[in-house]
Amino acid sequence: MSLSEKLHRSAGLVFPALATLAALAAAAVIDPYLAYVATSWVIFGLLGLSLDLVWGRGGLLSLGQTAFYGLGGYFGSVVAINMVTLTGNSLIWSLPAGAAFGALSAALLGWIIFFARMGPLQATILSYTFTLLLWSVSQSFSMNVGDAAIGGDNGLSGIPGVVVGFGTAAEALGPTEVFVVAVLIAAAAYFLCSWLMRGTFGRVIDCIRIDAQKTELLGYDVRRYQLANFAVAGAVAGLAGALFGAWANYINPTIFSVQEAMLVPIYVLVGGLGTLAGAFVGAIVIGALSFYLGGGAVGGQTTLILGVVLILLVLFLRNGLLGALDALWRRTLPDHNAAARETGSVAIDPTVLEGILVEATGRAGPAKSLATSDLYKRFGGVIPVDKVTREFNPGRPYSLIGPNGAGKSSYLKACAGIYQPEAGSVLIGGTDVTGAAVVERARQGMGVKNQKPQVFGELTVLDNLWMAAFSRTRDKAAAAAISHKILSMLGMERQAAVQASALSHGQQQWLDIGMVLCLAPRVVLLDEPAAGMTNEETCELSVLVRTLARHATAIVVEHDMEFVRTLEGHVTVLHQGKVFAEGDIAALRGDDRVLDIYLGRREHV
Amino acid sequence: MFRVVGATGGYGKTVIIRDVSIEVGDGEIVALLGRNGVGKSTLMRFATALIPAVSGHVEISGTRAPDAPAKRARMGLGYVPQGRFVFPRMTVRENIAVAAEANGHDGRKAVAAALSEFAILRPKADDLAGGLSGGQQQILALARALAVEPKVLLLDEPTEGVQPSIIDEMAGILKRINHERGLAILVAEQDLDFCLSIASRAYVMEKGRVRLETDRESLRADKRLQQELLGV
Repeated sequence: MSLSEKLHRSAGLVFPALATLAALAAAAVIDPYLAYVATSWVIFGLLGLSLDLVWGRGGLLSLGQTAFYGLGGYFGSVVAINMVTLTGNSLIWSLPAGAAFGALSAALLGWIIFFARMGPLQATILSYTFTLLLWSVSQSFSMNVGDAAIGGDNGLSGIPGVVVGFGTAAEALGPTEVFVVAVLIAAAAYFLCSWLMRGTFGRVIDCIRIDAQKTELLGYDVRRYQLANFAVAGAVAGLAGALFGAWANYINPTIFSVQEAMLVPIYVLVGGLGTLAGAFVGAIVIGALSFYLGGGAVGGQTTLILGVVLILLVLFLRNGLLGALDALWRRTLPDHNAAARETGSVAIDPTVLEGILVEATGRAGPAKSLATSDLYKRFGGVIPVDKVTREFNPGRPYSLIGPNGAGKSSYLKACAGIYQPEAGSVLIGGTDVTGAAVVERARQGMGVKNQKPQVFGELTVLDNLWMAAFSRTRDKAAAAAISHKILSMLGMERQAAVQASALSHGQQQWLDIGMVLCLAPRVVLLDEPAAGMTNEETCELSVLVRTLARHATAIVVEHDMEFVRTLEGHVTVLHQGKVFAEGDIAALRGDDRVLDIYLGRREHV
Repeated sequence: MFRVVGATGGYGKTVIIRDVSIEVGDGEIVALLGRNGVGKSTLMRFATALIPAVSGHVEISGTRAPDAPAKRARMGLGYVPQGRFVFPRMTVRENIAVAAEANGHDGRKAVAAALSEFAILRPKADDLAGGLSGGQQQILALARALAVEPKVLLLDEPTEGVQPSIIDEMAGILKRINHERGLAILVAEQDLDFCLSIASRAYVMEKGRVRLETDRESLRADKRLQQELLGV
């Protein structure tokens, strides 16, 4: 790996560290007024960081970050006003109190958003409403808490400045020192968040942003991860709010205003969505622009010029300043995705696969059956699943065939919990899971491959497999071992570092199947796994499904009759949501009714 | 005559196809074969200008095609992408009508024609396309492409997710339209039986290039070639 590539990989650590040092060095030379103003840019950067966690990484545009910022600011300041006389130091009170209150209020709002499974637009609107609600309430909210007097639209004054010394002699720092303290706090928060988002937690959050349903099918409790991420972001916002209170010595309801709320996404967009460090770049660039333009040099047209700059940035640098720099840099780096052309052939090794499945038996127990009783699902006038009662056991594979629109996929989805049935029940290994969430069924040992291949496009091929293996084992080393085994079966060793989005449709299909194998499921549902595969690959798939069926209950939806024949299993024909016929494939091929509705008589092919 | 000349392209920095040249004569059906990941879909996306050309160009009826998918559609290029891409919030009828009207044809007539060709769409005509099953969407995607009344039709895995009896009907319909209207077709498909039943000639791709060009009879006879290049 070249030096440039290594540097690119750790750019999120190296450059922020250099920037921190540069800011500390600059503090020695800049004039106190600039230091005072620049402190606010750093605080806004911290606020931007909190949004980037939930938006750039988590995928939810929250307009509630200023709410947590304001709440953290008020709460932290009230605590500081009352406690500062005890210690002299103000920050040890205001910062933890602000962060904790920010996290708590974010967790409450997040709980509503995520546990009600709100769509992205509703979530954005709710978070915005929350901010506006606080804005309106805080106008008239008056309360005395000890020495602190919250006075409605008069705000909260008398907030102690930044005091880092202890004892009664300790005094508030001057503007340059405050700047230094703010930079250090922001750097600490940034590196902590960056560490968190580089680890497994961050990777799960990325997966949720890319495809929440698939993440849940892998057995990750999506809602808890989202809630935790939202709370962490709330803590960062609350921290920024408390720092703001100490910097301004005063807070009033404008902190909850529309203008404030809308500025935060702009910082993030200008700097680069999802980069974390971009939030600081955006806040500093915009802050500096307004500062220098505000000097009157251009006739006081600050807003106009700023607006034009923003429009240009959004038009020409879609990924923000850091995103654009990253794209430029990547051009000079070797292209890992080029290896997408060099795939080997798939070779399923039943012994290796069996090894994984047997090992899984040790952890997750033996294969489980899947049963549905009078399962019923309707969409308006269409009834894709009409009182289907069936039991599937391990041993031989089951195939579901039937005309297009017969309800095969809907049946699988109702079993997987993606669709909630109106009536009837679903049992996995004798346990009733009818009302259980997808993740609960995944933990019971259910593995699902939907009709369209679902892979995490931005992640590498190996990381896709690792995410699946880690969900089951919760052990990084074991997950790495399993994912490498499956990788070599898929013939994709040379594509380990290729982004999944660069793979062809058929390769994505295999990768999705590979992820299901990493789960070593006890019950497997595969929807059209052979679609778009070559005959050779279909043969391998047949070996795979037969091996799986010896250690798990395997159900396959397919239209490829040659494939269904090689499975040598039980075949069920669904038609108009009901079981139409069943038996082995030879018998069904001789059944005139099945020929009429489904197989046809090959007059043209 | 439809020609792709020296096509080189891919996604971002990654070049997938290199210097690929193929041609489909008027009224000819040609198969595009090869294992998964050799660049068949990328070539189709190059031909429709959905990915930018690093080099190379496309000619439709002797005219060099402009670099815009909509303009190529108006020159008579139809396309059924892999993954269907029907308009989910429009009904089946609207999906077909909008494709026809956008290219200056009568939407009503196009819908009537499509519903008479594809019986499976009839009971679903007023349902939202997003609510159709995968296979039904695939058939709708074909019906919509035909509504453009193309001179050349590009089909990327048209049988994926479609039930056997309708695959059979599809082959019959394509052959008939090819015969009646002289529609030229380039079809990428893993189902070799389907390909050989409609195509008279084939290009076989390997690692982003055309490895060889062959006709139906030699392909059918050459088991070693089927094994080596197609994984049959």
